[in-house]
Amino acid sequence: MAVPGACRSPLRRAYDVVIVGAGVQGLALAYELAKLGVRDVAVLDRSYPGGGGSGRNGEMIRSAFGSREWTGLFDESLRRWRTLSAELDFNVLFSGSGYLVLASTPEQVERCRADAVRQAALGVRSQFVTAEEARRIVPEVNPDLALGGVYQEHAGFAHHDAVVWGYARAAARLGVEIHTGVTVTGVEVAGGAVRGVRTDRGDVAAPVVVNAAGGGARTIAEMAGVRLPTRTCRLEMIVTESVAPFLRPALASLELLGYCHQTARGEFVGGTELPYSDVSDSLNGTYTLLADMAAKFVRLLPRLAGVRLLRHWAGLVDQADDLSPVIGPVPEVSGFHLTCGWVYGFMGAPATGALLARGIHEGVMPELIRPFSVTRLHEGRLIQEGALVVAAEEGSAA
Amino acid sequence: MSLRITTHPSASPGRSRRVAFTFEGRTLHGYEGEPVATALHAAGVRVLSRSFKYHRPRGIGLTCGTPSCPGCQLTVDGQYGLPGCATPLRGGESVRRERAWPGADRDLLGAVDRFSALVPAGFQFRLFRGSPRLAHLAERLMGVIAGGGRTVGAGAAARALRPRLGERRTSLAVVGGGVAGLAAALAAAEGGLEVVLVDQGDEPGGVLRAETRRVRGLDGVEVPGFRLADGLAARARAHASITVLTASTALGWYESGVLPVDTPDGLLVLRPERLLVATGDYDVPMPFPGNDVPGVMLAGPVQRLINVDHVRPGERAVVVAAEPYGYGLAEQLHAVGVALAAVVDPRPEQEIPAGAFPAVLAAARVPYLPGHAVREAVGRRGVRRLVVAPPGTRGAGGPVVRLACDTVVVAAGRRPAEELLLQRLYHGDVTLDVIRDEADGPYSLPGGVAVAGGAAGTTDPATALAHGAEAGRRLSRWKPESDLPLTPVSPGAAGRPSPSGGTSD
Repeated sequence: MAVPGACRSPLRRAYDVVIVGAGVQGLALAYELAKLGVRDVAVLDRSYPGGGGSGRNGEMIRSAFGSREWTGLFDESLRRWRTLSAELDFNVLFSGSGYLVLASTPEQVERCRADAVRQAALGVRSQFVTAEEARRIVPEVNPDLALGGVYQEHAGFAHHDAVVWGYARAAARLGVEIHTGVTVTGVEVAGGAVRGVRTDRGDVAAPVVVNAAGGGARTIAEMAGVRLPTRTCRLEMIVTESVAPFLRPALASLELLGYCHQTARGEFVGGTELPYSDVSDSLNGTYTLLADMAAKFVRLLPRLAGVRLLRHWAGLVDQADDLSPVIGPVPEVSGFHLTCGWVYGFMGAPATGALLARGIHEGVMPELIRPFSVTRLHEGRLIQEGALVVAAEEGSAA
Repeated sequence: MSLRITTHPSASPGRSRRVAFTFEGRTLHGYEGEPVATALHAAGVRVLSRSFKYHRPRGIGLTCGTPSCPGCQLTVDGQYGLPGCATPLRGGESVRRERAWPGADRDLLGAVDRFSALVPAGFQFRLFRGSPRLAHLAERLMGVIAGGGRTVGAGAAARALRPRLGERRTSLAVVGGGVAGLAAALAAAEGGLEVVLVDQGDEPGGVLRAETRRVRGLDGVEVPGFRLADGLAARARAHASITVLTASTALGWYESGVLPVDTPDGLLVLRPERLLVATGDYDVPMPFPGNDVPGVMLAGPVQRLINVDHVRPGERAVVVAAEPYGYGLAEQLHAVGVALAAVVDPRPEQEIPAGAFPAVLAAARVPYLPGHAVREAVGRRGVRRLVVAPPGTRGAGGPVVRLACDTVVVAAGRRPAEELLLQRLYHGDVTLDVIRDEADGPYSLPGGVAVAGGAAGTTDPATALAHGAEAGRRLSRWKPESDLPLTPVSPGAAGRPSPSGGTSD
């Protein structure tokens, strides 16, 4: 398979910046670094671009969260999403057809009402919707589950493969080398500073190394002697065959711990979670989750009964206790940067790539990503973000 | 002339009850139990569907049996997307075609195909990339044709909800009730195992149900293939230790060996101690322009059409025999009254075994074109001719032979149906190809899993039968607590280390 943007020349012995992981985070960062004029950027991946979480996520995009940290970063991302196709000269099939977080109990309704108030205070465009309004936005939804919600009209979803291809192509055009099939086996550190990486295709020197390894981020960090207080969890998704359009916005259900949308081609894409995190590094889809997704989505959208599945997959997230990303430099290893710990990494990539690139280039991390530094985890200053639709407790689906 | 075969020279008696059904407002007739697609084909309906993107016409027998083959998906009583080749006719139902506007015979959306140069693969990533407003408009327009207008009605949705039948433990699950699976189930049951056999057909037997040639059984006696299949199926059904689940599909093979099965009664979750994958194989299409025009069919579906359904694929056929079984099928087509425009063997002449062309066809003056490459199938809503090139000609512009026909039968090889194995093994260092090459027949995997028959790359039915029986015996000797890999069971692999790193005895 021809990999868009993949470099055919051999891996060089030295670069200015080496990024580990050709997912949407690593590629967006590489593109933005090149745009700032940083030369000799290499992105290394043991597999193919987007082979990890970037090609396995639910594709959904919003900025209506509950904390100042999240809304700041993701609102900037949403702004960039809306013009990303023009920016990359590649149609990433962004669809700004809305994002509804659905409340199904009186407690959830109150939570949504409070979130909307907080979002307004933080300058995020969103609205609390009543049961009646929610049912008008998603007429096919089971009315028993639609008691209200938070609606963000200009949010939506994009095609995750197209985003990866778009960033890879645009980065390669600016001279970034994307090397696939290269496994990083070590991170060289000397005198408190990173010196490069060791790979199965030889050593590569670089004064700046960025860990954007997604589900493998903890392993890469350990190679540099950095402990990341994160754990690797498995998430699963399904895609159905194409059916006539019945679901316009992206939809997340607090009650079902589920999120879904329908693509322009008609496929329904969605994932659910059990009430606990599935700590695993397996990429096998499980029957437990398959049955959970089938039952919950048919309950949420009764018209889905009888619609066949095209695909079912699992992906990995390496998540921190506060489910917030870990972005920026590592104090004890100069030149070693992180953009990992992502649970919402797809939607956060356009802003993070641009901001982290600026931070690396100028030596000062921009305001919007500074709160996500790794030191917060070591010092126990967790980010209080309450508007996520994810499982938080540790456990196993097996 | 009707496509129905009234007196079949060699196959078992066909179906007898004639029933009426509605097809897009017309009343048509077929035979109870035959596939809906067969009934439509026999009634002269050639275009059964339209392709997903370019709206090219689709007919019967294209890639039948391949999972998610959209070739003949039909809407029956409001339930869309049913495979016409695997939906039995009951009588009284209402059948419609899909993915076409205003109709499948004259589909205006087919214009997409005429201008396909303007919509190459991936065009959507280049279109409107600079204009969010145009992209949004395009997205809305796309929504009009997305999903081919398929909406699940409330009634169909209610019918689609399957009862959950709970979990069932068993000492052996056999997926696939072809000759290898049946032989394995019987041998394992004799060895003391309790067996659940899962088969997609109305009746087990697999491709052998359509075989009229003689096949040697385990007792050494040669009988017509369909009789052998019937006999094995009857024995399996009668065996106290074997549960036969027909019209049932193993949906996947998950962690902890969970094997959910979609049965006519509901969803059954099997938890087998041992697993035999006997899922058979698929006919492989041949790449040439027009290879998807209605009337271009693969050998397996054609054999089933003539020998099980007793319906001719057309009046005048070209058989493309790139594999030996194509010659046998040509003989069978001739026997049921299909005129043969030619038998074409695209292999280089020196690679074709002497005497490959059956004497009975030579005597009937059927043209034989060895060494001829297939250039193109011509036709739009149905194939009109096949263009082939004589040996030694290359490129366009050389001499060609134009063979007028309404049917092209392609025998180009088979590939194993290995989805269940790939679902569990795709991370492994040992690929199935490596295992297959090592084993050269049926093979075994760690954890009480074996593979036999077409799924293991065996195409000869007598060999599949013997290998299936041997795999069944081996499985009945395997003990879960030992958790050692089963040894490869083919003679060719004896003594070699098993690919999983275990030992051979």
